[in-house]
Amino acid sequence: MSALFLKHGRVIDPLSGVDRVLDVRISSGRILEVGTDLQPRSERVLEARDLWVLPGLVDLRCTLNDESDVESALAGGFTALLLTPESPRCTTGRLDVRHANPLTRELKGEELGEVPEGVCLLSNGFAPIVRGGVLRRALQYARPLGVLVMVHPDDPSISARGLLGEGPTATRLGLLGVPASAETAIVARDLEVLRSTGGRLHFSHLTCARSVQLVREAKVQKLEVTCDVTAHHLTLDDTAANDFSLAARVWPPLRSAADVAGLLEGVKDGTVDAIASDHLRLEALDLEHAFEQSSPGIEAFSGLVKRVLSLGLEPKRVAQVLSTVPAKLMGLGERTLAQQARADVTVIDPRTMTVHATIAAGELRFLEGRTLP
Amino acid sequence: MSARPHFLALEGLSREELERFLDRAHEYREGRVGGRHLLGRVVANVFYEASTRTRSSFEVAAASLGAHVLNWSVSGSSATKGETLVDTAKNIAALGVSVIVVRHQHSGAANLVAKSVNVSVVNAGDGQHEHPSQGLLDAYTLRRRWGSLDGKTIAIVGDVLHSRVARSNLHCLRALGARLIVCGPPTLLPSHLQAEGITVTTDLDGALVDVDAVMMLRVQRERQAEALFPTAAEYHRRWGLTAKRAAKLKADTVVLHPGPVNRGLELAAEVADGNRSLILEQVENGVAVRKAILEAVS
Repeated sequence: MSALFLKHGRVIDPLSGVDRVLDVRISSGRILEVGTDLQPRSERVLEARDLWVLPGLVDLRCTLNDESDVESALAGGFTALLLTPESPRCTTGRLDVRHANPLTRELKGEELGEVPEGVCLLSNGFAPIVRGGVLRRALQYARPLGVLVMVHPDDPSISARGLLGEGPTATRLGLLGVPASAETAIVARDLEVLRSTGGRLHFSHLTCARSVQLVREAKVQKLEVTCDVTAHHLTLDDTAANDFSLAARVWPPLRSAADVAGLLEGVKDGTVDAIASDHLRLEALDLEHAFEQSSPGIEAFSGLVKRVLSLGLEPKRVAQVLSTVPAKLMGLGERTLAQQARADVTVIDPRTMTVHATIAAGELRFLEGRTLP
Repeated sequence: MSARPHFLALEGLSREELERFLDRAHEYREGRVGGRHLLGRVVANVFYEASTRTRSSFEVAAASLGAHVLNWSVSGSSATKGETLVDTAKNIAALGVSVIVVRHQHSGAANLVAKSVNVSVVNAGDGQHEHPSQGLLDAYTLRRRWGSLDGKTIAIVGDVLHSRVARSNLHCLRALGARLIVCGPPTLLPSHLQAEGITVTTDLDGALVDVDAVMMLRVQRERQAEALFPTAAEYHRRWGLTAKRAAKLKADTVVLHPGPVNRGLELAAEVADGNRSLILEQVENGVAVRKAILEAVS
């Protein structure tokens, strides 16, 4: 176990209400001491002047194919990950990886998936719940267990073979558009189901301004609903597909600048609870096909902090959407930098918008551009 | 990857660039130039989708410019054995061809090939994106008829949503000064066309008043299964160019179709064969236009 001393960093810890320059002493996987003018003892000292010291970043949604994805996650500042049910298993010990249990059997959206003891959330991954009755049963069943139900809102009969948010770019490029209603109709349906059943519902990777507005209204009415958006949907609009760039080949699809603005508004006012990566790395071969034939996916870990910091959010909000709130939704407990907390810490350089260091469970796993074993 | 000249889309080409193609095509069409500009070169036809007239037209154009034509057979070969489009393109390029003419069922395919190889690429139709040689030959056919497209009104009618021909036409005809009306079933019109300064309507009879040319698009019959329109008969009644509708057109209004025609669906047989029809002339002009294209990229 390494002993670390973060010197003079700007500690931003929403749960304890702290935002000021402090020293942090880490030992035996715990935060031993936080205070001003502490003196390093035998610890390794990390100079953190002008850097942000945040509770370790948590990703609500990603797919890991192998250890190289773990490397990217650490380099991206992540200390805990929630894998989609579709993701291959991952047995790394370098950070906290949880695998979401399937909400429906084989993600087919028909029969309810098993709920093992201690599970705090169920997810249907990238598979839509086509039949409203299935979502209704799932919410009913999960409610007394306190289990969070995560859904990917999509009506495949509306999104059909679409590739890009409906709009002038899709029309111009001859890529079939995905109407906003493919998402918003399901968000509206699911909120109505939630209203009748109770329970806790979470929408993954919303893309439409209208969806955010529906969630906003539902929250005002005290429905137990949460949602996340991805960093790329907050920073790219459909014009990223110009010239058939595969950087825009993601699912759910990229949408208009107005939608991007609507998502950002939701992040700022608290309607959107978390920012997820939706990391799904493509193999080189996947890039050798035309837009429509190539599989959707994005190497999202590496540029995520830059994308999020470019939004101009308050540092406290950054810590909430990337750490404390997703941690709570995932059932990781309180993500804080208070004394005795588990030492999951991400150090960010706000000037370059890059990750400076990643400390997972007290171990330094990434520092200044290099992952550590 | 390559700085070679390509011919991938009509979008973005200026009026001057388009007219240069049309002028050169005209010289070929009128027999003012004969040149065997591609003597000793190899032009590869790589068609991932069945096509008789476009493929033959490129073949005739290339051969009469002196090129050897390589017809790379795609269906049932490497494409189904997992070879990627980029891989196939690199293999063809490695044979030493000068030009790859590619037709593919997916939008952006020609663009991807052009990015991957150091050979000139001609787009012979990619998905629902563009069919630039068809767009150019349509424009040529009209210009040959009228002298200029300035101030003319042209209706594009039918399945615009899935039509690469329509997209090429929209860019090209507008750049050449024509006013465009796009008409079809509401389920077969793409969104956000109005934003590009084009009149969009679902009312064919209204659209045809005072037009100078009608370009009918082919209906893919399998679309009916996707619930995009109720029946073929209803399509014909509402959006077909029937003899009755054709009779109401101005005396000198012409009718075009990229072929092959679904007779009795989008176009009545007597109109396709009637004296307004430029359909066969389109095919004839296609060779001259494709000669101009092949010459420009080699």
